[in-house]
Amino acid sequence: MKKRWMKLFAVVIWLAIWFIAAIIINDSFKFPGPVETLKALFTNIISGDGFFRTVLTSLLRILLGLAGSFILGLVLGVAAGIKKGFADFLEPIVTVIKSTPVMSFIILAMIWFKFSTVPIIICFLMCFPIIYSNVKEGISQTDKKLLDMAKLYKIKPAAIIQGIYLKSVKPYFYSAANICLGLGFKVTVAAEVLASPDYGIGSRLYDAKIYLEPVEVFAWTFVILVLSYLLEQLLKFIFRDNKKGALANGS
Amino acid sequence: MALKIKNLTKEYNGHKVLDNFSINFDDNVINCILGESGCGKTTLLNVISGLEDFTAGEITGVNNSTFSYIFQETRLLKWYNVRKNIEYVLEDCNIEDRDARINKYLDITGLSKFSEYYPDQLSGGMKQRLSIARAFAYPGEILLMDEPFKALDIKLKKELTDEFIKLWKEDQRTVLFVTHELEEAMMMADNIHILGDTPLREVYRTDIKALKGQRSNAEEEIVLKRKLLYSVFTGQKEED
Repeated sequence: MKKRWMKLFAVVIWLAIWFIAAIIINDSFKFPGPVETLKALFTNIISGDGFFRTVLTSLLRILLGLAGSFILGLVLGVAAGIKKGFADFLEPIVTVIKSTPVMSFIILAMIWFKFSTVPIIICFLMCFPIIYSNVKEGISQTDKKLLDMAKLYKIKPAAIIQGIYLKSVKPYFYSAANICLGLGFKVTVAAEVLASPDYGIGSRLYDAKIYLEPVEVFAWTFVILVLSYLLEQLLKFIFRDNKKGALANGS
Repeated sequence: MALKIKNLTKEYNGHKVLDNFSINFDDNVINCILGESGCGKTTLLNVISGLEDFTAGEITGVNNSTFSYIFQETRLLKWYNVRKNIEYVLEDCNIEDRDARINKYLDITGLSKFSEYYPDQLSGGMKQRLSIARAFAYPGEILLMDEPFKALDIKLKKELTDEFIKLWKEDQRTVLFVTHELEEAMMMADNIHILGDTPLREVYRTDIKALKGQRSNAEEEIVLKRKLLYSVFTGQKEED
C-alpha cells in the first residue's frame, strides 16, 4: 500500500514539474501545460469527432500486432529452443528483422499492404524478434534435471512442453511482453503517422503536425500513456503469482 | 525377473566410468549400493534407468520396466503445488482412482494439510517427503534412490528413512538405493553392495535381512559394521 502511494506521489511531483515548466516557459502554444492538455483532451472526447473510434482502432491494431508476435514468437521460440537446427534455420530472418530500420519496413508495408493494416504489420515485426529471442533463451535455460525427471516418469512430450518448458519460459516471456507493450505502442503510432489511415491516434498526431497544434500532440500522447499503463496492468494481472499459503516451518 | 548387469562399460569422452562392470540385484528388496562419492554410483543408476546410454555390456531384467526415482535434489516443479507435483507424473498412468492414490501418499508422508503449498514454501525435509510420495504414487516397478537424504540433518534423516520403510513395507518394489553413508545403508537395506572405484567393481556383498532399524542383536551389528567398513576402506572383502 505504501509503495502504491509512493508511486502516486512521484506522478504528482512530475505533473507539478510539468505544470511549473509550462508557467516558466509561458507559451501554451509551443509548450502546453497539464491544464491545457486536459482541456484539449476533453474537447476531443466531447466533440463527437470519433475520439473513441480513433482510440479503439489504434488499440485494436496494437493488440492484433502484439497477439501475432506473442503467438508466433512463443511457438517458434519454443521450437527453436528445443531444436537447435530449427533455430539455425530461423536465425538469418530474425537477424534481418532485428537489424532493418523500422522506417524501411513502414515504407515497404505502405507499398505492399492497405494503409490500415500497415501499423499491425509493423507492430508485429518489431515485437516478434523480442518475444522469439526471449522464449528461445528461456527454453534453452530450462533445467535439464527436470527434463530428466519427466523422461524417467515417461511424461508425454505435450505435457513436458506445457508443464516444464512453458512454465520455465514464463518469466522470460513476461519480460519480453513488457518490453513489447511499450515498443508496440510507439511503432504502431509511428506507422499510423506515416500511413495515416482513416482512424488512429497516429493519424490524429499527423493532423496535429499539419495544423501546428502541439497541444493536440500532448493530448493524444497522454491517451497513449494511459492506454499503455492499462495494458501493462492487464499483463501484470495475467502473469500474477497466485501462490498462497505461508512459509512452512519445520519438517 | 531380477535385474542383472553384465560387463557394462560407460565412457565419457574416452574416460571409462564403468569398465566391464557386473552386478546382480534381488527383486522386491532394498538393494543398497554403497561407495565413496564420485565412484560412478549415480552413473550406474542413470544407465539402468535409461537416462544415459552405455558404451557396451548388457542389462537384463529392465525391459519395458517403469522407474520411480528419488533424486538427491528433489526435482520438484516449483510452479505446481504439492498435489499437482504428484498429479503431473501420474497424468499418463493407467490408474483407477488417481485422487485416492495421491491422498493416500500425502497422508502417509504427512503432507495432506500442505497439499496447496508450493515447493518453495516447504522446508527441505518436506520437499524430500514430497519427492518420496511422488515416487511411491507413481507405479514404477523399480525404485531408484540417489542419496536422497544426503542434505538432511541426522534427526530428519532418521524420520524420513523410517517413513520410507513404512511406505515400502506396504508396497514392496525393487529398490536400488545409492549412498555413501554406512549408517544409512544399514538402516534401510536388505542387502548391501560395496563398490570400489577405478575401475568400479563390486568388492563385497552382504545380506542383512531387512532388519531396518529394528536390529536387536548389537553384536551382530558390530561385526557387520566392521566388515563393511573394512571393505569400504580397503576395497577388499574381509575374510571370515
